[in-house]
Amino acid sequence: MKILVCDDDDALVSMIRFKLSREGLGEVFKATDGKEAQKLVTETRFNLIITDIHMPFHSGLELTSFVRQHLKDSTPIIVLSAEGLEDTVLQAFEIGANDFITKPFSPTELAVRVKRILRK
Amino acid sequence: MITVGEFGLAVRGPGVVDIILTVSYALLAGATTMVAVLFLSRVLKSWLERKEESLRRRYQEILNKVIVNATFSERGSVHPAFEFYMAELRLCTGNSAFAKEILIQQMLTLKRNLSGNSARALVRAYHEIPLYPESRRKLGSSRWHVTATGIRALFEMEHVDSVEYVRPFLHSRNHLIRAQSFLALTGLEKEPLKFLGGFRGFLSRWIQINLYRYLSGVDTRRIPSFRQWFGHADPSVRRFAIRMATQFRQQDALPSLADLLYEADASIVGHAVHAIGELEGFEHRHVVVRLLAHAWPYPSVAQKTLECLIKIGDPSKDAHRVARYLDHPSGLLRSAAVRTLKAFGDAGDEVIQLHDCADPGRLKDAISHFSDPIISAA
Repeated sequence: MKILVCDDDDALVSMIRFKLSREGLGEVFKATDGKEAQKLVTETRFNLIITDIHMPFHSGLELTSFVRQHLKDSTPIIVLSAEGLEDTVLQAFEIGANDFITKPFSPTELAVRVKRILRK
Repeated sequence: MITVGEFGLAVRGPGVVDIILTVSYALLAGATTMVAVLFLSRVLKSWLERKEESLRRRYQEILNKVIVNATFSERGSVHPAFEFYMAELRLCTGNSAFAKEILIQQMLTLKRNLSGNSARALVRAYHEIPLYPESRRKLGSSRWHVTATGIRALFEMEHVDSVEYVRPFLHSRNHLIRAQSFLALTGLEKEPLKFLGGFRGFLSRWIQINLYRYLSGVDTRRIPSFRQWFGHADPSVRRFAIRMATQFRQQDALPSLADLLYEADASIVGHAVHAIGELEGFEHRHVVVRLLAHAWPYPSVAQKTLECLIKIGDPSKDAHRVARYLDHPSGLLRSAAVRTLKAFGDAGDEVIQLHDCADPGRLKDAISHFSDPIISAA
């Protein structure tokens, strides 16, 4: 399994990588901005993408839209955001996100959601 | 001294040459020293950056384990592995204030994104290492941002024993330190906002927003009864208390809110009547109606009273009282009256129809203003 974690917060990415690797969920890749994330999703086929909304260059929503509309790819996407506003959550689902997690979040909960999505 | 040379040219004497040479040497020495200082500062800066980066990486590895591992047993006793990680972190930080500061920053960054056991593990680590002396030390800094960072860390890491260290900053001249200490005391004291009773000063909107944001996330059982501050000496605290009683839907505040309608301060009366409407205090309708009779010279209070009656008014009894405002000189109030009467339904429509307006044109404008699709949607 290949999982891509996109967030400009290094500490958080490191923790998510550690947690998902510990749970044996596969190989975890990281992208620290939207541009790098777009490059990685174009070059590599991932089983899951976890993305923050606020990132330099391209937002997580733009990345989701890029994957769904430009790449025509159905890779599951989990959107992470500190912004839990109803409109943002609805917009994320509308453009094709599979799940939405509001920060602050529990790493255990994230792992459970990742397992559930990968099992489908 | 100037002398005539071999070819009749004027040449400068040795004294001047000496001075020029000395100045040149001094300038050269100064420039060399400056270059050396700049070079050393660059070397030191890059060394510190490398050290910071290496510390961050090392801390992150340990903190990942602290967060991710099941650190605590169900009964809340410390897991042996946790003690081991704490020993590792203590070893990394040593007595270095720099290393401790990096660790605090790293923990705060992580905690901002985490909830549940993981966040609790970080808080426990901050207490166990311990890092609070480092945060307390910052409170004595002459630089305001260092002090604010120290207060922030003590608050985020829930160090309740530091309440007395933070309290003096409540009246700091720097508004950001004041805001931080407000938030910190709200979070750290056993009874949130207990300190508000003795607070003398202005409660800015920024502090109010942050307090509300914080209180929205705490256990509702910890939310204080805001009516206790309705009689506070400072109007900003009173307005804040009224707003919070409304936001947290404290119905038991309604009798005290009704009493506030007799206040001399129009702003407090306006806030109170708005709160009564939001809390749907039907049993206080008669006081609100009485206020409407006296609010004519105070447009802001009158507008809020009319809005309040939309929620708690009795159409059959109050429509004709509201109709009086259809003749008010303020266009905003005439529109507010139309809006209230329209909300009253048939009873309100009938009153508008039968109203003997001194200036029918103005009434027509108010009605068309209300009928504007954009305004009525708003």
